[in-house]
Amino acid sequence: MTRRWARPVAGFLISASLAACSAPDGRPLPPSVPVMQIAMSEYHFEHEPTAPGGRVVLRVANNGRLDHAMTLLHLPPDFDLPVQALFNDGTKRTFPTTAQVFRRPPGARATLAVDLQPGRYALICFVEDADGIAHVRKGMLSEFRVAGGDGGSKPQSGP
Amino acid sequence: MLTRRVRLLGTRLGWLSGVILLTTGTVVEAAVPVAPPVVRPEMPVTAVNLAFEQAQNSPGVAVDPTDSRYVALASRVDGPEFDCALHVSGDRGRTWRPAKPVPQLPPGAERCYAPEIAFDRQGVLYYLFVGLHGKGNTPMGVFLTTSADRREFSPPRRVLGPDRFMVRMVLDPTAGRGGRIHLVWLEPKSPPVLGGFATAGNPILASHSDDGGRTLSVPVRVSDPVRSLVVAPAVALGRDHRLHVAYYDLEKDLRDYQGLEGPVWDGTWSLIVSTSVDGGRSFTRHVAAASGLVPPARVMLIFTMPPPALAADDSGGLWVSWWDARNGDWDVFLATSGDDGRSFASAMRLNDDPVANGRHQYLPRLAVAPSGRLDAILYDRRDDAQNERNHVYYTFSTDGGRSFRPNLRVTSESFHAGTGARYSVPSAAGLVEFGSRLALAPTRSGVLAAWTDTRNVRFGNTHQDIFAAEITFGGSAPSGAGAPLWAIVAGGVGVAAIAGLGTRRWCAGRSRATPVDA
Repeated sequence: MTRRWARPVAGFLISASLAACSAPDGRPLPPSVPVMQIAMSEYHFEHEPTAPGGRVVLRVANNGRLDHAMTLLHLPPDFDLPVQALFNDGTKRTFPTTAQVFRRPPGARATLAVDLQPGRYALICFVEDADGIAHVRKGMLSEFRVAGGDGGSKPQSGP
Repeated sequence: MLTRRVRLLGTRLGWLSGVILLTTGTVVEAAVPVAPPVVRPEMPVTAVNLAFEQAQNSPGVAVDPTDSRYVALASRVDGPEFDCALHVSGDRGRTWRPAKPVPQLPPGAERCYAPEIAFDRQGVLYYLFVGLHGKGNTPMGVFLTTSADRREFSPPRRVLGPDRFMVRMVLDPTAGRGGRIHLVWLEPKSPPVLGGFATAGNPILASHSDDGGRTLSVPVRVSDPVRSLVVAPAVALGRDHRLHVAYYDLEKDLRDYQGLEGPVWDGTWSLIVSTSVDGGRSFTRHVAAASGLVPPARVMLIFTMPPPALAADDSGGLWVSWWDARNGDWDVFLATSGDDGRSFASAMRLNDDPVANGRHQYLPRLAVAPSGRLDAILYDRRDDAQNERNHVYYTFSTDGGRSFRPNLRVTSESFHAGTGARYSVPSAAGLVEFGSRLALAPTRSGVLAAWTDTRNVRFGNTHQDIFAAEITFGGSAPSGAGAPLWAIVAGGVGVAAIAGLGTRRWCAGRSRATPVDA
C-alpha cells in the first residue's frame, strides 16, 4: 500500500519544484527598445543608413585615434539637398539640435536615448584639429533616414 | 535478521540523504551571493531632445510581482513646466518606453506632479500624482489611476483634497481582501507662503484604503505631537502589516521650514521613526533613530525636501539612511533597528572614502531583497577633486546592516550636479533642483538602480535624464531568482521520498537475490 501512493506523491513533489519557474500571464509587454550603434573615427561616422522611428538608444563609440563628438540634427522636410550641402554651399542654416555627444577621447563611449521622427537626421562632428579645421570640413558628416519621411536626397553614410 | 537490519539501515540512509539534500538546497538558496556583484551597462530611461529641454528627476521604481520582466519607473518633471512621467520596461529594466498614465488631467488640475507608483499582488499598477493649478503651482488634490492591462489607465480618482504635501504611497499586498493602499502626507494648518510653511505645527498624517482607493479611512496623525517642525516623510512596510514612517524634525530651524533667506542652519535636526502596529490605524510609537544631524546645506524648497531612505524586512529589521555634514563634507549614514523600530543602533557611515576629504556623498536609497540582503545606492563625488560631478555608488550588507561591502561604482561616466531647474524663491538662491530621491528595487538576479543623470547635457542647461542599471550577482542570486522557497521544500521532500523508497526497494531486491540461511 505504501508503494502505491509513494511514487505518485514523489513524482508530484518533484514536478512541482520543477514547475516553480514563473510563467508569463499573457498581458502584453512593451517591446525592447532598438539600439543603434554609431562608430566615430577619422573622419567619418559608421552606422546603418536607416533607423526605426520612435524611441531608439544610440550607443556611440569613438573607435578613432583622435577626440570626436557628435551632434544629431533633424533635417527639416524642405531641406532636399545632400547632407554635405549643409556646410559646402556657403549658406548659413540653423537647425534645432536633437542631441549631442560631447567630445570623447579615443576608446570612450556614450549612450543616450532619442525619439526619432520620420525624415532625415544628420550626424556632425565639430571638433577641431590642431590645424584649426573642424572634422566636419574633413568629411565627418553623415546622415540616416527614419521611415515615413518624404522627399529629400537619398541617404548617404559618410565620404 | 541481517537482511532486515540492512533494509532498515538503507531506508534510513535514504531518508537522511533526502533531508540533507533538502537542507543544503534551502541553505544555498537563502545564502549570500557567491559571486561579487557585477554592474551591467547603464541605459537611459528618458530621451534627450535639446530642442525641448526637460528636467526629469526623482525616480521611483516598482517591479511587477506577477512578471518580473515588467518594470515601471515614475519620475517628476521640474522643467520647463511641472509634470509627471512614467516609463515602462518589458525586459527587466534594460530598455524603457514612455507611457501615458494621465492622458487627460482631472478637472481643475493644470499639471500633474510628484508621482508615486506601486504594484498590487495581481500586477495592477497604481500611479498616484498631485494635481497642481495656478501660477503658484498650488496642490489642488491628490489623484490615483491604475492600469491592469499594461495598456490603458483608469480615469484619475481624487483620493486626497487640496494642500497636501510630500504625499507618499505604499501598498501592503496581503492586508485586507485585496491589499491595502497607505497614503502618508504633510498637511499644513494654514496655506503655505512662497517657498515655505507659514506656521509651525503641521502634522504628518496617514490614511489607508482597502478598496483600491474608492474610500479612505479617516486620517490619523503619524508624527510625534511634541515635534512641531516635521517634514519629508518616507514610508516602509514592516512585518505583520506594520507601517513605518521616517521623517526629519527640523527642531528650531524655521529658516528652512519657512523658506526664509539666510545661510545654512547652524543648529541640528533629528530623524524620527513613527510606527503603526495595527495596519495604519494609529501611530503610537515615536523613536529618534538619529539626532544631532548637522544640516548639509540650505533646504532648497521645503515642499520637495528629500526624505530619508527607509527600508524594512519581514523579520523586524528596519533601516533608515540620510546624509549630513558632521564631518565637514556630506556623508551618508545608516541607523539599524532589529526590533521593528523600537530602538536604533548608533549611526554608521556608508560611504567608504576617506573621512573629511571634501567630497560629498548624498541622497541614499535603500532596498531589502527577498534574501534579506540590504542594498544601498547614493550619489558620490569622491572621484572629482572639484566636488561637482556625481557618480552613483552601490554597497550591500548580508548581516542586517552591521557591515557593508566595499562601495562599487555603478556609473561609467560622471555628470555635473549643477544642471537642472532653479526656483525663484529666497531659499533656493544659487541652488539647482536635482531631485528628492534615487530608485532601487530588487530583481530576480540582483537589484535595479535608477537616478537623475546629466551626462548628455551641457552644464548650465536645465535638461535632466533618468538612467538605470542592474547590479547582478550571477546565476546563484537569491533575491527572487529561480524557484521560490515552497518549491524548494517540495522538491526536497520529493527527493527524500524517492531516495528512501529507492533504497528500500534496492534492499528488498538484494534480500530476494541473496538466499537467507534458515
